[in-house]
Amino acid sequence: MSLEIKPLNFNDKFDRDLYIYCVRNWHQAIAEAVPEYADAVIPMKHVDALAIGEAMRFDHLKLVNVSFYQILKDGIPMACFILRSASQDENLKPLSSPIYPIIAFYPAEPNAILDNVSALTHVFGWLRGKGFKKAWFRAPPGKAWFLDKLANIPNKKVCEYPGAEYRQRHGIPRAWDVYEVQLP
Amino acid sequence: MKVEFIFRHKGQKLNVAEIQAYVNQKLSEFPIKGNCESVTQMSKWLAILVDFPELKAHPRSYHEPIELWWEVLAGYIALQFDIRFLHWEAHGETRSLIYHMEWERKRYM
Repeated sequence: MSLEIKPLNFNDKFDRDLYIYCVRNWHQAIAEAVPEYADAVIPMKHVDALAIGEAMRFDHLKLVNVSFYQILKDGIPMACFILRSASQDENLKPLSSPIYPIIAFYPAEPNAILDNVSALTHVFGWLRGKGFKKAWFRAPPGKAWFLDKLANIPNKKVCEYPGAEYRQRHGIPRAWDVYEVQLP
Repeated sequence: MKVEFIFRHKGQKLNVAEIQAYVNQKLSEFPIKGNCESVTQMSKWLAILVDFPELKAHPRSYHEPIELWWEVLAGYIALQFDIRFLHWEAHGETRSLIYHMEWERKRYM
């Protein structure tokens, strides 16, 4: 089994559709875990359009130093992920200096836990190879995917995202828990 | 508030009337009022000007909930017409394509 990480190219229809597929599955998994989140911000029926509209814009403007990737196992895509830095705290207030890369991991098949664990472990190794000592990883609340299975990678819950203050202001439920993952 | 949605096309000839009708149809499904005022195809870009009469300009950000609806709209257009969404601009601001085009036209008239 060989795992490979490649950038996503949103000019390419295959990459675009793959990204949408993965993000849609992620949102469906969140909706299972936190039903009140499903339609709270943008109704689920618009999830494809939101995913690609947001990704294309962030990718073009390079907001929050974002970059988009896919993970392939033996040439077959198994997940997409986003790497970005955080320039704001959990209440979206600016930080004086950006912090660790934040990973949003969108597995193509959210329930393929073992595959996803190996893909995520590969991402952590890849980050370590790039010189990062730790990363923030976000997971749906109440369903902290694979984290319990990554026993050899210490992690701790850092915050809820968006933070309480922001959620209160806009009347939206919690979207993710953010975990700090050590990359020794 | 008027917002320009900027796309990059692949050189294909786009039917601007069809795009305008599609944008208005999508806007009618959203909880925000909006009206597509114009669709302009340039050599590389496509600019779509949408008026949101009930919105006031807000500081540039990427966490205003209304901007998520703009991303939804842009996403639908990108998927429907196979074009690449780039960004939006408040009409009349620095990087606004149509504003500059109008400004240049007036300047030389």
